[in-house]
Amino acid sequence: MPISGLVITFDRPVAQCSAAISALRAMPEVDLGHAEENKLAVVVDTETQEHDRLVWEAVQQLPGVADVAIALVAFDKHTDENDPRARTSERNDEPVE
Amino acid sequence: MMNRLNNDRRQVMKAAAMAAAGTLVAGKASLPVVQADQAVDDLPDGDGLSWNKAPCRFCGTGCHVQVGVEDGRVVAVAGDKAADVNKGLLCVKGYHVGGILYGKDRLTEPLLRQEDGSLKPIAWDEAIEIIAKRIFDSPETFAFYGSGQWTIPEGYAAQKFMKGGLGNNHIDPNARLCMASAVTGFIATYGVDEPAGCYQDLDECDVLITWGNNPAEMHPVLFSRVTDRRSRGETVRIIDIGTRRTRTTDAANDYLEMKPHGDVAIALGIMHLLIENDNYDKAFVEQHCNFRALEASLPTLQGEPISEAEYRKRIAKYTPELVEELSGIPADKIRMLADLFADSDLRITSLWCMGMNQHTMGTAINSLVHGVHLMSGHFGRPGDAPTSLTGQPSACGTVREVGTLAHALPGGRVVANAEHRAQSEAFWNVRPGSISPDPGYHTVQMFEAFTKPTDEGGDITTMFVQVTNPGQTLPNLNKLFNSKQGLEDKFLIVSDVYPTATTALADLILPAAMWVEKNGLFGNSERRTQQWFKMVDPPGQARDDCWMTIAIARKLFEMGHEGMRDKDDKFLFAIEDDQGEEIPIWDFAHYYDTNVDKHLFEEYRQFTTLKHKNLAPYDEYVKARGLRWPVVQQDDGSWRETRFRFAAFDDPFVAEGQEFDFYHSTTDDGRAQIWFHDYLPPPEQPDEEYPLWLCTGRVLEHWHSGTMTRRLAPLNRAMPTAYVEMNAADAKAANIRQGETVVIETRRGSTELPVWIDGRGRPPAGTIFVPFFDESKLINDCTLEEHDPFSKQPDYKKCAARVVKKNSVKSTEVSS
Repeated sequence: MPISGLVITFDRPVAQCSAAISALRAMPEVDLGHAEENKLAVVVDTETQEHDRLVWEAVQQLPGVADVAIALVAFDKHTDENDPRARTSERNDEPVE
Repeated sequence: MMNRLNNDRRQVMKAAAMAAAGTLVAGKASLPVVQADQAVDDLPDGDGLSWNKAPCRFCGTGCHVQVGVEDGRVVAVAGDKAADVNKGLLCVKGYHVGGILYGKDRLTEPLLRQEDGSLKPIAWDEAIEIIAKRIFDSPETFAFYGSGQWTIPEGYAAQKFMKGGLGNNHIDPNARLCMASAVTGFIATYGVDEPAGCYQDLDECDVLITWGNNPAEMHPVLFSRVTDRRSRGETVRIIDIGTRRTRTTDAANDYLEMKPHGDVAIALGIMHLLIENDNYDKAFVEQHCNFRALEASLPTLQGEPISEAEYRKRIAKYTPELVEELSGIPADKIRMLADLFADSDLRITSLWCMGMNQHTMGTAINSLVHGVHLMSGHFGRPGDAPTSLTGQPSACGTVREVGTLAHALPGGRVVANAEHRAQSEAFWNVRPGSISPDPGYHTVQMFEAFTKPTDEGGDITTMFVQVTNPGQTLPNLNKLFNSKQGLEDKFLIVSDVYPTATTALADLILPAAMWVEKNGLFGNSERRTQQWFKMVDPPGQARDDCWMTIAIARKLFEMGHEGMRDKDDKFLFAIEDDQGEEIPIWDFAHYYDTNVDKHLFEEYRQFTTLKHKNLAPYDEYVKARGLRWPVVQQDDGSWRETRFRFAAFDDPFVAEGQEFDFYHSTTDDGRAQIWFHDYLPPPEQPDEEYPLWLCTGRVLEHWHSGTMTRRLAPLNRAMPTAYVEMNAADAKAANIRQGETVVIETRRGSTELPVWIDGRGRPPAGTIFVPFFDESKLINDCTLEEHDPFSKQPDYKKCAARVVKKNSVKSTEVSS
């Protein structure tokens, strides 16, 4: 399932981060919580850890985000995801000119 | 067992997550810290969910987590708001620390290699008997290779078993590969190991200098203490000195890109200017320091005294211009660094980790950076500190303090000293003369002796590896590990939680319990000793590493090995109950009838007063989120930790009337040593045949050799394979494209890797970087085993390599 409580630190007061806040509000997996000065509490609720990671990465890329840290994470069975066979997968980057 | 959490539980956990995050946000100027023994009462409980504290299993930062357990399984992890280290926050690896227990391929039963190469499950009794018999038959050719991930009691038991029981000093840890140069640097400078400062320095410094260090990815919670200050409007200048751009560089005000080995020249250049400009801290130096240099013949860590005039004479040649030539850093930047150190109003903290430690001049560069701080007086005030970080959770607590190194004994003692041996023999109640005076093999020697045929002088025939993966992490693997294959009389025993590159060559594999599947104590990078209790059962027949050592010792005792009896003819690890009856802790069914960790820790604690590394009783650590040693009992019976050593305002051992007191001075005068070391070139440098510098290291997503984090699907998907970072100009010159698989070759070996051009880390032209986490792409087939002459730590950060296009008929080499 994982549910994670995150602390987002912005490089300016949260009130000045309207673009990032709008983007967060548009994410269905994200609930916004208490904000104070340049910090904002959010909860991310997804079906898989992979989805959770993608949300996390999206949050980190938002304008003005300086840091994302974890306060709490709850999860259930990992075994479906934690298959050692996945360790043989390859990077798939595009060539550059 | 829980599968999907139901909606009610989901809402409870969402509320808890929001509360946990919201509490941290509401901390205003600084994140909230509750009292150490205060309950963390905003976490949900009931319905079988319980919480308890533990330090994170990964790096040396020592973040504390609250572990949520339900139905015998870890189901949640929260940053511990009672923990001063992380103040309730966790990094991405901390997020996943609960998941590392649950990879599908956990080892669950002992496995014995058969003649056809297959592995056959055997009973624990048989496994212990096989090991004991090999040791009994040839105790002097047995070696024990351990880890900075050993808990303190695990390391202590191994140490006592080897040195006190077998009289065999062939015990060394993987920490030899990661922080041995920090140890020798501290000892050469202060006469005693480990940092004087603590993480509070990061909260109070004006300038943070990272020397070949990437804390943004390797110690992110610590680094966030600095970036968090900036986000609150404080000014902290970050200066990143490195050989490639990293995420730390992204946050830095100044990036100084040096040539490999350039750090030695930079430190010398700063000290040259402090003296040349006559703006070093003369009062501090005159009152608290001596000048020191290596002896001309048979150099030692003690060195020989030199006068200030001689020091001036020797360092005179390290002008900014020469330093620019040696390091690649422009002379005006060297002057900038020297001007910062000359400003006594600033607070300057230096951080380093593998960059300065995995270095053939590791002892020298560690000593020189201490010297920069001592000479400039940037020492002993909060925010003014030279501080090394560790990469493993108990490299300090277990390796450096328990002394699980081939030359050491617990509590800063050494085997070569008769008085030290006698002290240890007394604490262990073993017969006088039990401990051998000869240092054992350090890591590189140990594996050379194990992988060399016996008839050619390879005099280690049985090796027990616990909690580490040398088949992936040793340098020059083809020589030091892979050559074990086919040596019939060599027997490798490996205790681990998952199959690894090391178990691939093991003759006997033992399934181990990990983290909260057992009791434990760690010691982190700031001298903080941390305790936790077992919370869940390990899978199958997996068992504690400490139990394995004790069970082997007991079997040897039963076989009649004299070393396993103490002076009173009792078992070396005997523990008695309140009625004086021995508890059979060697029988795993009874191992948890008592707290073995507590017994071992209380015995070990006797050693810690010998070098002012005093620890509190075990039960004090049960209450606290760690305590930084020396921990000294107060008049009211409470126990007080020490944040800043050698400074009178905080260290209880500083002599009355002194502002600073280096009370373990190697010169017995309360003074620290400011060392001179000449710059020496690296042992291998790029040339026509191998034109590139190869640097190796870690990545954010994976921890060390990846055996745990690669079992975590999100982390593995985020970083599924090792790669070679290349500079775009180098790649273009060789017609190498993004993602193309190439062959990295050195004089020692080769490995195939996909290319990542100007990716997360951006090496300069002429340099490539490869992380070592991927067991399917072993870059340590290529690295160099050359090591520092004092610390014996190999240099993984620089050797000569070439990049060859795969499938090319004629090799296309990349020139710098």
